[in-house]
Amino acid sequence: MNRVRILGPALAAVLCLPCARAADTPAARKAFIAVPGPDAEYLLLRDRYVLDRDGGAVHERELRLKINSFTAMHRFYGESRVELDPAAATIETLYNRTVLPNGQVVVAPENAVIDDLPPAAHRNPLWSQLRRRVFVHTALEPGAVIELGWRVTRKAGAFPWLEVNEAMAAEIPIAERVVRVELPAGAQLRGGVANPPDGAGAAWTKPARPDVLDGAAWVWRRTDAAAVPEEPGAPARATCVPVLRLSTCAGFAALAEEFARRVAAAGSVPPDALAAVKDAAAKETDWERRVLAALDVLPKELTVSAVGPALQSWQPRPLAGVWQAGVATPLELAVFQAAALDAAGIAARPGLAGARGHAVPECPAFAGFEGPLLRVKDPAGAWRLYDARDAARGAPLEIALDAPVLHGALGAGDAAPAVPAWRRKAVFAGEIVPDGAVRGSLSFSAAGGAVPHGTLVREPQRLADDLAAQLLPGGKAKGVRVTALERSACSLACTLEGALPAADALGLLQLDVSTLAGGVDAALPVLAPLSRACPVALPGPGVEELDITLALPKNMKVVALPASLCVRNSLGEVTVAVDARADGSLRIVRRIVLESKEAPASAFEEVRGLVNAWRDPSARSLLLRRE
Amino acid sequence: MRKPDCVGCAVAVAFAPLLAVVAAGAQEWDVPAEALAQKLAAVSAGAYPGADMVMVFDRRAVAVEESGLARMVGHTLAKALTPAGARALAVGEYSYDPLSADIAVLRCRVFSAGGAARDVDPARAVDLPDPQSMIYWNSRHKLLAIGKIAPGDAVEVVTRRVGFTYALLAGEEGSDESRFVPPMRGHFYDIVPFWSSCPVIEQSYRVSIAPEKQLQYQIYNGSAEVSDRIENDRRVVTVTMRDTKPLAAEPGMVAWSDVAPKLLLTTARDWRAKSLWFHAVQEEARCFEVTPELEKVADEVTAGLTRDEDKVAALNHWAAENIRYIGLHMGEGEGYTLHQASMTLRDRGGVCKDKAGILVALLRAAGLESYPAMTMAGERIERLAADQFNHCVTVWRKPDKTTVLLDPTWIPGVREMWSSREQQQEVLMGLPEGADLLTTPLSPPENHPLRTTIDSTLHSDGTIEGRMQVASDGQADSSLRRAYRGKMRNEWPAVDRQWVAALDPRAEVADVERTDPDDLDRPFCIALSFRIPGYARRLDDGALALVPLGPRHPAGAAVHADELHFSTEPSARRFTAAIGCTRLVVLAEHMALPAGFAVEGLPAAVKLEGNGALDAKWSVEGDALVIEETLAMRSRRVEPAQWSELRAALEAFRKLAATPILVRPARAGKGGA
Repeated sequence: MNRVRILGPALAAVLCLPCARAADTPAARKAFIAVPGPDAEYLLLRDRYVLDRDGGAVHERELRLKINSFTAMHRFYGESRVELDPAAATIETLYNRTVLPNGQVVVAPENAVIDDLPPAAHRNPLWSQLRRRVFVHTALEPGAVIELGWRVTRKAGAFPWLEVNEAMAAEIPIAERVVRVELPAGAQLRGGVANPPDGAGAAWTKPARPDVLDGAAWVWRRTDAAAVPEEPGAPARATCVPVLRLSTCAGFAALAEEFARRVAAAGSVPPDALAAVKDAAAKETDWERRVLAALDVLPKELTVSAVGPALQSWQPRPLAGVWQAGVATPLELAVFQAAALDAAGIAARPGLAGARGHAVPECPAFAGFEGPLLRVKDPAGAWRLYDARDAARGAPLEIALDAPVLHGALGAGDAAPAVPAWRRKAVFAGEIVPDGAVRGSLSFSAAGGAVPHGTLVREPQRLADDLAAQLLPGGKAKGVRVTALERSACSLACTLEGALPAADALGLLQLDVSTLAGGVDAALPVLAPLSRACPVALPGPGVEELDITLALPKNMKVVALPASLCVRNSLGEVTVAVDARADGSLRIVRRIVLESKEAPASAFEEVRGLVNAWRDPSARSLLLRRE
Repeated sequence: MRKPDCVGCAVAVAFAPLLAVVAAGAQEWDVPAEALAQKLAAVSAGAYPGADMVMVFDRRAVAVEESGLARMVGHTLAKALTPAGARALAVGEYSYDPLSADIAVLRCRVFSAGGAARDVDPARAVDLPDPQSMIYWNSRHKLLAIGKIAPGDAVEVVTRRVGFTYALLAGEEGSDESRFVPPMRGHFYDIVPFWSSCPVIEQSYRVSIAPEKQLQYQIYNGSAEVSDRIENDRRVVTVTMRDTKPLAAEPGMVAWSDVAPKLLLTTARDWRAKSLWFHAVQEEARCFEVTPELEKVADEVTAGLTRDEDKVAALNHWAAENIRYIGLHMGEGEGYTLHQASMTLRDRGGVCKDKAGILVALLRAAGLESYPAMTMAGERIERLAADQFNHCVTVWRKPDKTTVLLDPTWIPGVREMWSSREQQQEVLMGLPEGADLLTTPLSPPENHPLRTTIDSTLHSDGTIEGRMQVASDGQADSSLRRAYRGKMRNEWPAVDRQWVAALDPRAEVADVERTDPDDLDRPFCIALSFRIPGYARRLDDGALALVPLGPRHPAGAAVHADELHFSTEPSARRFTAAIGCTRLVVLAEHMALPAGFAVEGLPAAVKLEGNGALDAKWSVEGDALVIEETLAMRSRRVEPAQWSELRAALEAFRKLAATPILVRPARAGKGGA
């Protein structure tokens, strides 16, 4: 039950009696009088976009934000920030004031508007012209309303079209949300609302079209938009709130062409950079290792700055300048890596991953594509995806990435592909000898987005040692053999040596049989036992299984097996099966099946059922005792 | 002239300087490239295992003028040893505050591993605003794109800086550089760290000053070569250290400045002189002038209160809770002068000095005597009166002339008047008659109790259920409130559940009763009912194995309390450790056992005394397991000699938190407790 009773002074005094202060302790009084209701609420949040005939554009924002709580006033809403590139745009402050609960209007002083450097651009000489305008909201008190208006004017030619990417809900309620777009005659507007709310109505598909002179205008208006809280374990924010995504770009072909043009404008790879990449690649004979060796070079040579693609308007600096400066943005690194690999004879292109669930197929826009990555063609002619900063990390992105990818070479922005189910399994068969040492054989196999491809190419021993150490304290893997390795499937075998843990105060030896190193355990959400408003992100679809067979010595007795359990629902299944055999051996199989990557908020209890079963302490260990 | 004190482990050594530097501002830094290349050739990566770069030299030469204005030439030569070191040296960044200082790059040269030198045009340095957060004082830096270099390459940089660092008060109008004259006109001070994250082959600091300036200096936490002589009617002091290696950090240690080598210099006579100056400059700036608006606030906040103590408490907490921590630059006067209280009230915002200043004004408006004070949060202030302050607080002087420290910056969500996270900390009060440096007293653990009482029942199927009450005060109280006040209110119900669910995901929580986290009038407490199915594990013989809930310290686990998480490594410390606050943790559990069951494996009682004290006893009384544990952490700063006591208490406390017991049906008969 969720009822919370706020204690009055009398009961609080009883509860707190052990630590109540002396009677002459000064009374503090309630120093902060919060306003009931949400922490804060937008009374108005209005954006206006105007595209000019010459390609210039204006974005105006006006907001009225009521502050109710201590946290809202002191932590979350005291400042507003806008980042921009002064080479491409200018910013004006329209107004920055606060309306007090008594109606008095307090205009923020001039020094409450500050232009500083975006933190992402710090120590990046190639992007040091970027600026951030900070609006400090003064005179805040519970019940006060912040009123802010600003205008960003983008110069003609700074961007080839107009893009709009606006959330239509927030973590706090919005009484009135308005987005207005004005276009010159002849301009086409594409896109729509991703994740429209239930019962959205016609306004979402047919926005108002007020008359404007010599052009067209669209207005999306939403009233009383409920808060969409930012809950732990939720999917990407863009999938939880309705997002208005619009563009005047002619289509995906034009978008991809523009991306390709920008990549090409970065120029060719400087000779000494190319030589370094070629040298590294030449040291390897195997194609897989050669690619990874080549991709290691630039991240060691260049500091990677945090300027994201949107802040740099998806426009990389020339590679020669990047190399000279020794600093690259993630986009520049991806472009550089692709160009260097390509020049070294391995076909490669840069790409941009979008946020999961963010794509609106009818909206050809850069906005939302914020994840630079690398596309590499393998000897079989298939395109792979790599992380440009750490190519050997994790699973093959072309299989595991649950997001649309924008790239130039193929002339299209791919919609988010259906991610195939992954599979991960470890089988250990061993014996415990009387002195507590454990020996046996371990086999590991994986498929789909669970394949640790880069690690197996380079460091199979490390992967095997990690698996061994998770299974047994001090466990070591020996005779490690990679028995199969493809992008979509792999297997490994080894022998394993370790020991049981030391006995606890009761003489019990507790062997953790819960999970695989690198397995699903860490990816499962941590969920407070409450209902929720947002969906829950799950690391599915996939299956993980840990199968352990142990032969026990005669001097050792089982005092508690892991609890057998089986929880099955529409989201998946968790089973723990334990078989104590007549010959004294044990078989423990822990298995989790996740049917999807996301569970709706309404299925929260089912998520908890699965997660809590997997984490049930009584089903995660084996208790032994020496006799 | 005062000779170096050379106390502690500082050793002054007469030193004939090898440097060609005679006086700052001359061209001593103009060293031929060949000479530097030769020096670099002798520096090999093998001599510095694990280091990404080595500082071949770091030389600073300072000339102090009559006004106190200081001009410094900095000359560094750093060699990259690894790709990471090379990446770090590709960009040069030189910070300054435009109202108190300026900096220029005079030279930059890159030396290849082979010894060839190339110039980087200093004119390429661009002047940029800093990225800022919460304090928007328009700080800036010069950024020089040195360009990509390779391991083995080295970068030489010469900079010239004019001005001062800490005292951010604008000077009188006049010459272009008048704003760089320190606010305590004619005086000079500096704080020079002699520690680094990379090896340093030679670091020197040289100051040239008029002998009548009465410069005092001292080296702390290390030894150095020192030259102190008269040259051309100027007193020239040079301090040099050689071959210093980065110090190995210890978890939870005090700030580096407390333990690593540093040089302090000052012309201020003593702290009392600084106190007098600080008092005077605020009063002259009329920072605490009581306006009608301030008077109105003071009247409203103290309405109905008769005792001075109550008025002070109300005003202190009002300033803490209603003045947002935000730094806006007021132009002239920023720094040591506090914003005028009326300005802080208008903006409802300010940094520590402004919050302290409005509290001074409000107290005065209420007819109470009050002044500001300076302190250094997180670091020790030495006896030498070089300005070592990063924080400002308020003093209330009672009619009996005793003083009480108040800190409206550190007490949002705290029931205290002065945060006990600032105990054992130096403070300089700005009193009219001046004051010496004081150290805030220890706040006993009893001021910061966290008491968890659990009345539970263990069922024969392993389910445990019961009611848990958590009561607190002082800093323990604030740590619980912070769990709520750091989050949006719609997240508070989840926080309510986390007090148990953080330990076991199966926990079901109901009937939550708690105080309002915003209400500082009474200590924070919470009570809740819980049920955890299968909490105890059934063994083959029917016994139940469990770690009792109480000793696992559910509330402490939920707030990552020091008693559970402060590192107990290393076993012996070189440096002082600093915990968040003194603390008294009381855990009491009364667990009714299933009928006919007995307990096995009770741990022995523990009684440890010292800086950390633990008194723990688990026993069976009738049909119940009774657990009582009291842990006291007695000081915020834990000296190396005290560490073994605290460590032993923490380790014993944590061992109990993981100690299982068996609850066995009596007929299985393996002996009772």
